[in-house]
Amino acid sequence: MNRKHRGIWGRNSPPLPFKKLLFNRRGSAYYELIIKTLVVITLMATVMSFLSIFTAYLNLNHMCRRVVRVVELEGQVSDNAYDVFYRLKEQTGLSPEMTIEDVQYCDGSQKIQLRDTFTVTMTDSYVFTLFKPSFAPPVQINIPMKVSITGMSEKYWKLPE
Amino acid sequence: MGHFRRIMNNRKGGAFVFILILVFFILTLAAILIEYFRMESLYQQVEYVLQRGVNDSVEYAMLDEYRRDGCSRMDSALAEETLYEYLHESMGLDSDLNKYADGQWVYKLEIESMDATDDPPRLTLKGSLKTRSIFSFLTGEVRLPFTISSVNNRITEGGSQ
Repeated sequence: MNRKHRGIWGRNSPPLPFKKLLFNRRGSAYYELIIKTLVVITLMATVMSFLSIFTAYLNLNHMCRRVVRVVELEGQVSDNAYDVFYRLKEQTGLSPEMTIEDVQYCDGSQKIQLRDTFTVTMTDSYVFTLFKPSFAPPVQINIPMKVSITGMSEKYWKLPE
Repeated sequence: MGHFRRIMNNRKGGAFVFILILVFFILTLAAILIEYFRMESLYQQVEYVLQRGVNDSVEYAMLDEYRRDGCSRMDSALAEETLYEYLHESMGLDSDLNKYADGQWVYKLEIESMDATDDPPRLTLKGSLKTRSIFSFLTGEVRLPFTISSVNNRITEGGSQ
């Protein structure tokens, strides 16, 4: 038996029906469609998991904006501002840290005089899971997020002369 | 003439032209969407800052002594003056109400009317935001109208609590 008769498999040539099946091109479009669908679904899942990072960032931005608005209207870093902050923390599932910077308090309290500016900064880190192998801990990336928004007090405080 | 007709009737390379048209269409659509959201964002930002300024002006111009008698009254001239001061100092607009960022013109505020009434204490600002878009060569400069109003009806004395 020469090489030509043995084909590409040589001595280890598969049984004839299997070989026939492999070289038969009928129905190949069907398999192609299955593979393409799998690839598209995988790509969509990847894109959607990346979208969750943007959603978290938008939520953090929204939280910061809401807290800034409360401080602006109240003209002070009051309990209401912290109430809104904790409520939004629960609603969004994020756990950022909040700091109020670049602020000049008047009257030795948490009051901010009309037209004085302040900056609310929220920092958080989003844990993005790349994959979860069953035999090892999940592979994750920590993505730091920081939002700073400047506001201006809308409350006039009458200070003692 | 015959040469042009031959080119028009020649179907070779039709797919290439089709792809070019498709790419042009997709890029134009993307540019329109990006420009729309950019302008929407600018408009919302300016409207927010103006609302804050109008609120500040009304709050600053309130005549607190009238509250003892159970009525609320405002110094309308002071409110208007305070608003102009806010536009120049806090918003960084020049004498013609133009806004520049890094030496580049961003927008211009065109104020149609500023109505302030002493009783009820109300300040209403009407005007439009004039800005430029990448489609200015087709549409000219874009004007986005706004009406911003602030009323203060509080009759209890406050500001120091």
